[in-house]
Formats: sequence, structure tokens, C-alpha cells
Amino acid sequence: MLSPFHQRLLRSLCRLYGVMLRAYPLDFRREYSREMMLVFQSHLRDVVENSGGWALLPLSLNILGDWLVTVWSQGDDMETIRKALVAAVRDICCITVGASCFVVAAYTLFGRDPNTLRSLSLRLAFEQTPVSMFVAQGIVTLLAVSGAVSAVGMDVVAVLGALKG
Amino acid sequence: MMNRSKSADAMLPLTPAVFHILLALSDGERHGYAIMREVGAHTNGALQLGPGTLYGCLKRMLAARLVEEADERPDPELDDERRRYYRITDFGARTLRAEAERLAVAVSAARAKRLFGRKVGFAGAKR
Repeated sequence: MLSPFHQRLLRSLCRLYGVMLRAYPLDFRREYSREMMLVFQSHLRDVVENSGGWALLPLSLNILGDWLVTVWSQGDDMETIRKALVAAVRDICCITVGASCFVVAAYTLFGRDPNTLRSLSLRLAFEQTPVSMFVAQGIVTLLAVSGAVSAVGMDVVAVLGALKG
Repeated sequence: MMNRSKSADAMLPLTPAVFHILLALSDGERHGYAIMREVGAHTNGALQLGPGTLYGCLKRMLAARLVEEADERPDPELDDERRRYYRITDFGARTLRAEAERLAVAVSAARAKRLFGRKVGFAGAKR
């Protein structure tokens, strides 16, 4: 017979596992999630009854590893997940470049210190004339805008592709 | 060996999880948790199947007709009626036998090289 503390702990872990099961593909979940939960409950109960509450720690790590591996490898959604990850990394890169350029451009155009741009490496490439500064600021602004536009554009393309697929 | 169908050989080699699940089912129908415990006992705890691995394998094994769901429950009075029972098919049994024979050949080869009962070293390795 489990103590009230262990019963509460098992209930909490089962609720958590129920949330984790949602990461599996829908058809797999429909078919097996109920049984997986039964297996999980039985396993936890056996471990606590035979080895005590501390034995839940290695078991939980084992279950977590099993979950990570099988969520990744299960079903036909694997290719979709890979594509989504690639798209996310690409978008993050674009947005980072765009945002960085935007910050530099905004700061040089509207910042308190008008010499900010002169302190950057551009100082080596340009003579510090009003025209060269204008051109440099224009390039930075252009980069910022193009980074943001490309990121948004690729997101739109990805969404349209997903809708079409 | 001679009467084994080609399709059983085509399934080889089995993954350790699939092999041990088939082994657990070879002497009777079992539900998921019973399979998990049986596999742990067979392997002295070396192979601990999690629920994801277990049901991922069972899904593939059902598709390959190595196992099937049992219609009748061994003892409905004694067990949770929500559990599903699985049993090995004839094809699964043939595949299990073929894999066991394949492993036996490998073990024989290892025994011939006297790999058991001594520390393993490589002939060309520096000492």
C-alpha cells in the first residue's frame, strides 16, 4: 500500500506523462496512449512498492530518454518535424541579422551619439565625409529592411507550402 | 532450417527490442506491462523497454504480422479489462527461431575464438 505522499507523487507524474504523450503523432496516440499510460502507472507503482520513492528518479530519467527518442522517431511526422526545425533555424538567422542591422541603423540615425558608426569597423573602409556616412547608413538600413523582409517572406512561403501540402 | 520461408529470413536481423518482445510472447499471450517485465527479467535488467519503445515496436510488429492482438483475455476476472493482449503469430515464431539460430551461429563463432571467460584483446594491439 502506497503512502499518501507517494500516491500524490504518482498522480502528478502520471499527469505529466499524459502531457508528454501529446507529443506523439495523432494516429499513434489514438491507438496506444491509453495503454502507454497504463504501463507507465503500473511501472511506477511497482517501482515505488518494491524499491521506494527514490527509485523513481532513475526510472523517470529512463522514461524521459525513451520519450525523447521515440517521439523523434515515431510515425510519418518525422520529416515534417525536420523541415520545421530547419525553417525555424533559418528564420532565426534572418531575424537576428535583420534585427542587428536595424538596431545599428536606428542607433546611428537617431541615437544620442552621432559617432557610433565611426566607432565601428566601417571607419576603416570609409572616409568620414558626410556622403560616405550617408552611404554607410543607407547600406545598414537596407540590410535591416532586407533581413526583415526575407524572414517574413520565407515564413509566408513556408505557411503557404504547408497549407498547399 | 530448410522449410523456413524466405520472408522470415528477410526480417533478419531483428533489433534487440523486437527479438526480446517475440521471446516474451513465445510462451503465451501477454499485455504490454507483462512484456516489459518479461524482457527485463530475460536480460537481467540490461534491456529496459520504455512505453514509447515498447508500443513503437508493437506497432511495427503488428504491421509486419509478427504479432497480433488476442481476442480472448486469459482471465478477465483477474485483470484490468482496458489492457490489450498480444500473441505471437506463426510467422513471428518462425522469425524468432531464425533469429535465434542466427545468434547461435554468431555465439559459436565467438566461442571458437575463445572469447568467453577471458579478457578480450586484439592480435595486432600494442601491449
